[in-house]
Formats: sequence, structure tokens, C-alpha cells
Amino acid sequence: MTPSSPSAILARKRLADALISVGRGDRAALAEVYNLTSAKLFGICLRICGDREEAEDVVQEVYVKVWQRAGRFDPERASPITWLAAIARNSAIDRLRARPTVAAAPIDAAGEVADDRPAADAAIEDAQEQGRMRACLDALEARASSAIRAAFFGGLTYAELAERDRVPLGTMKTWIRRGLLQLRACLGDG
Amino acid sequence: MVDPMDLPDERELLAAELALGVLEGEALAAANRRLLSDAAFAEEVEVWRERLAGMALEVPDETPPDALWSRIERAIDGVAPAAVVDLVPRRQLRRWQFGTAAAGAVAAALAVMLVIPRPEPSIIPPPTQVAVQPAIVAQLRGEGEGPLVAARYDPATAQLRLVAQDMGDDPRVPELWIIPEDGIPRSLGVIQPAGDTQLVVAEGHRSMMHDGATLAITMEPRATAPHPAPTGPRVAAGKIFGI
Repeated sequence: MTPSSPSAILARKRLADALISVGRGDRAALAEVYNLTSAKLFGICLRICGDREEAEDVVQEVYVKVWQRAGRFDPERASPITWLAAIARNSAIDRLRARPTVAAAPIDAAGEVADDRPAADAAIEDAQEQGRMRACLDALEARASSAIRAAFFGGLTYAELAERDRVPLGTMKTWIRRGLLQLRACLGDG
Repeated sequence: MVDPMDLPDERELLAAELALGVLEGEALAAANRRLLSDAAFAEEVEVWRERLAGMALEVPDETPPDALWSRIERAIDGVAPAAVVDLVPRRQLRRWQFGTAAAGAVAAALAVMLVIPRPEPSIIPPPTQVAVQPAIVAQLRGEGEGPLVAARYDPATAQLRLVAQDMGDDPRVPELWIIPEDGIPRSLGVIQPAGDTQLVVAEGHRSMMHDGATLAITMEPRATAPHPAPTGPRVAAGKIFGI
């Protein structure tokens, strides 16, 4: 693993400590977690939902979950911002799927915008970690990384992805499965 | 570099597919069933969720409106704080999970929650009361959140009574499942997210309501309940034990 900058390590430790305090029922620590991460998590929810009001609802749900689940955060396994991002992404996708009809716009936007817009600098993020994920995704075949991104940000299933790319279902499965294994090997944490 | 396709690990691929969310229909239902019954698989799904979440970090920041924090504060006012949990070192937890699986437990994944020391919920009827009326009970717990639901079943009348603590704000509804030895969840119906629910277990499911079987709750869409198989996240589970 590449070393992170000292400030990134400190920021990560500060957030991890705050999360651990939340796990002990410390409400002030939840406020700190919110201050450190709400812009990042709101950005994620907005990207997936494509609607500010809905994204606000999801962010609210996310921090309630953080309040309830922080005791499960394991600083030895996940970086704190990644752990929070996973909750935000999954909550936003659940919301997307609970809609009466699937809105196509945010899904299409997600696949394209995600490719060439770098994130704003934020001290709390581990730039190394993020850069590694980006490099590993870029190393995949373009069709595989595009499909994985569309599934991640748009909640598309195998069948929907196959239809989107006009390929047989089995072909799409092969692209994604191969891509996921390559991703794991590239990230080197499997 | 080793060609990753030389490592045909079907379980890991299934975990990755479930974490990414590309499965649907019967494949999704089967993966969700496995999540309930296979601790090592559930662990892999969680690892994959965190691994894939790295993708979300590239999204640009967006400042939420100022009012959002006070909304969150109001929302958590009615929610129990996180249970006080001593973090179990991950490796130790893994070993423990595999040990349980080897012992042939019906649903090792569910037992993960039971490592969290919590006082007995007072909503379980005291033993003296139970002694005169044979019944079986279960405590259904969520991970890291302490007891959520107490269940009491009377085999004579097939009546199942559940008392739930507030399960939080969710647009979906809690659906109760019985998981017997074969590991396949059967829906017992939808329950109240807070307070009492009384239901009569359907005749075909009564023989499954015995010691060692698992009761589990998942969050499911209200409109289509009851469902043939769980699709949503498991929020609580526990084993039935006779007293």
C-alpha cells in the first residue's frame, strides 16, 4: 500500500476516533462526524438520486444509521470515510429502487459524469485510496468499468446493463465478473 | 500478474455481485438467503461493499443545506443510541464465526449479533408465567443495536406475538421470516415497526416453529408483501428456544 500524507493520516484518525465515540453513544461526536463528512455523503447521495430533496432525506437516513451502527465500525478493516460512503451509497440505491418508476436521467448522468470529474479536495479523504481505486477502474476494459460504474451509481442490474449495452446477458455477466476480480487483484486487499 | 480468472471462486463472485447490486429475481433471492445462513459469505459481502465504496469517493463534495443537521438531531431523538460494544478484533470474530458454522448451527451469521452483551429485554414474559402455558420464545437482534424484537409463540393456538422496539424511519415495512433447517426463509407476514404485533402462523409453517429454527426480519416494500423470498437487508434475527 502506498503511504498516505501525514495530514491524511491525521484526518482519518480524527474521523475514526469520532466514529468510535459515536459507537459509545456520544452525540457531540456524531455532530463532528457530520461536520467532517456531510459534504462528501451529500455529494454521493445527490449523484445517485439526482434530486436535492431526495438526497437530503437519504443523508438524514444515513446519519441515523451511523448513530445506530457506529459500534460496528472496525478501524482495522475499513477507512472511516469508505465505511460511511458504503452506507450512503447503499441507502441512496435503496431509495432509487423504492421509487414507483425508475428515473433514467440520474443513471445516464452517473455513467458519463463519473468518468472525468475529479473530486474536490477534502482533507478527510484518503487521496491515495481514492487514486488507487480510480487507477484500478481505469485499468479495466472500458466496457467493464462503464458497466460497473453504472451498476454502482445507477443501481442497474445485469439485465438492465445488458439491455443498455445491447449485449447478451451472459456477455454482460462475464464482463462484470472478470472486472470485479481484476479490481480486487489490482486493489491488492483481497 | 496472476490471471484472476484462474481463481474461480464462485462464492466470492456472488458476494461481489450482491454488493454491487447487479443480481435480480431468483439469483438475488438465493444470494439473500445465503446472506442469512452463511456467516463467511455475509462477511465477504461486507468486505466487497466497503471495497466498492471507494468508487463513491470520487464524487465531488456538495454542501448540504444548514437545516439538515437539525433535522437529523430531531430524527435521532427517538432512536436508541448505538449499543455500547467492545470491538471484537476482526480475526477473532472470523474464527468464531467459522467455529460456529462447523458446529452445525442453523444460521451462524445470525449468531454474530449475540456476541454483543446486552441485558435481557424486559418485554420477554417472566418464566413463571410461561411455566403454566407452554410457549416458545425468541429474541431477535440487530447487529450492534441490541435487542429489537421479542417474540412469543403459543403452539396450541399458533399465535405469535411480537413486541418491537422502534426500528427507525424506513419507507419499507419489516417482514418476518421463519428459517427452518433447510435454510429457506418463509414469510410469516409483515409486522409493526414499533409496538405489538399479533399474528397466527399459517398451517403450513407451524411445523417449522420449533427449537433451533431462526426468526429473521428484513425490510421489504409494503405494497407487494408478503413476499416469496427476502430482498431487503436483514435487520434482526434470532433463534427460537423453548422454555
